Amino acid sequence: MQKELSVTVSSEDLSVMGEKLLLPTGQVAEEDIRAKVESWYQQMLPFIDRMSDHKFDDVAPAIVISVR
Amino acid sequence: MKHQELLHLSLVQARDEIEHLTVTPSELLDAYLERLHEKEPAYNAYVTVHEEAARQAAEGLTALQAAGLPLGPLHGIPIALKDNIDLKGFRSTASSKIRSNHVASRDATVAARLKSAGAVIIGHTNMHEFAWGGTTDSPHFGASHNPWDLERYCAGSSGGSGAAVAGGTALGALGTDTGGSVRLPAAVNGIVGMRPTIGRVPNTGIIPCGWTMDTCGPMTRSVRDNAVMLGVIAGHDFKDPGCSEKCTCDYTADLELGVNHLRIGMISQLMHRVSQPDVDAGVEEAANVFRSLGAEIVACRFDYLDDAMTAWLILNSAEGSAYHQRDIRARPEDYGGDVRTLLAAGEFLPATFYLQAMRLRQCIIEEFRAKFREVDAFLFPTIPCTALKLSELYGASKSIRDMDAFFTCIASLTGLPALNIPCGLDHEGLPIGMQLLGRPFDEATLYRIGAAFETAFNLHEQLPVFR
Repeated sequence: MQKELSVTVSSEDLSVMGEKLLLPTGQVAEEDIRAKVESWYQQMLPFIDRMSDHKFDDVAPAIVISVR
Repeated sequence: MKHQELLHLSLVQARDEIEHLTVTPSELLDAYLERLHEKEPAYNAYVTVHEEAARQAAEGLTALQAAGLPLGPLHGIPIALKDNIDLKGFRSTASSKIRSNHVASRDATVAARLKSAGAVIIGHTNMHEFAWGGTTDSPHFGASHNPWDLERYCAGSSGGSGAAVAGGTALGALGTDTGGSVRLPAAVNGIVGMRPTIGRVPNTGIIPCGWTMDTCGPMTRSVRDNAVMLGVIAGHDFKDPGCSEKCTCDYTADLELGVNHLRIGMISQLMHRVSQPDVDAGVEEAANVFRSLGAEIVACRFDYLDDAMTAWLILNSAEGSAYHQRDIRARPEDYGGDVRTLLAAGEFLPATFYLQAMRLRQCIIEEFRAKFREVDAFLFPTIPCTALKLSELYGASKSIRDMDAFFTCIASLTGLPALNIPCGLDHEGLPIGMQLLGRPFDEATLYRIGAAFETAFNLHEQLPVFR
């Protein structure tokens, strides 16, 4: 069962709504999982902001690893 | 030969002694099993030791030799497999409770190739649970201990393989590497570890960690031994759709060529940022050694490496959580605490994060493709630290441990081959690892550079197996 996650993904207003952070099973995520997600988002959101810059508009994902 | 003398032989030397009938596979195995019985209680490098099967295999190889059959390149050599590599009829658990009862019905392709080359599989080594972590501190099988200092960790995830080779309870071992899991334990255990080009070595029969970055590679005491092992396990396997059809080569052919006129790039933004000072000093001294051997050191700068570790984290988290999706939802209590948290948290990464990471990956691949027109290989540290104290892994050392894949994730993202070579000792006498990164499918040049460095510096006779 997949439920919608209540995770705010704006780097200006980073917050993981602990009581609403639901696992795909519908259970509320435990504290260690909420903490990990929060720390990941703090690390990842600035990266996501940088990657959404228009200078990357011509870059397609490396779906097939080029060197293979 | 006495057991201690047998333990001091390199893989290539031991194979030669067997060929010349000065030692039998059984005698060599006896020496390793005696050492294993003595040291394993302290190292905890193995999940399972296959003593009886190994003795039978060694006797069979002796009989084959007596019958005049040609010998394989690993004839009679005791080799260990990481616990995520299948061996028919034996348990491979990935150091997990989830797979604690898994007995393989067939060999992983790399295991089959080792056996065909005459290797004696001595056992399965301890690892970080499902290869998702770098400490080899298993909640199910205990922590592996570093043979250089038993109070310190072996890194990971192939930590047991690193300890077994450095401590002399195997003459060579296989590890797997998704974000550094061959190179990190090779570095802190003072041995040689190769992450081959993605697709060079088949993954058939190996439990995945992150599909787009998983690679199996050899861990040995010397460069030559490593090159021999890669020659055995490399090559196309139609059962692995990610495996390359490119021809393999004799990876030992260029070992004597030296580095004169080779160009080795040093990436300025990777130095003096996250490493302990001894590690940076060790790598810079290695650059001086290469200069003295005739190589040119070229300063390089990249635009996109600063986000490499974040991109790697997204990819590995998403891929790992996808692989474990059923079990992490149905029986999360059967995972160790750290891996359970990582796998559950991975469910919260949007697909857009994954694709942005894949876009950065493409940018970094293109940057390396361009830079390789100017240099033959790159040099930088393998791991920011030397072996950390087990007692401090979750306390004082956590900040530097969080950066353990800072250097190794580059090869993982790009798919390029990378080799760890011991390049010095820190102020406490612990090994420092440097990393050489090469062109796609050009493992031979990395071995060539590594072999040249070994002529100026190596840890062979300082390894714990010599104590």
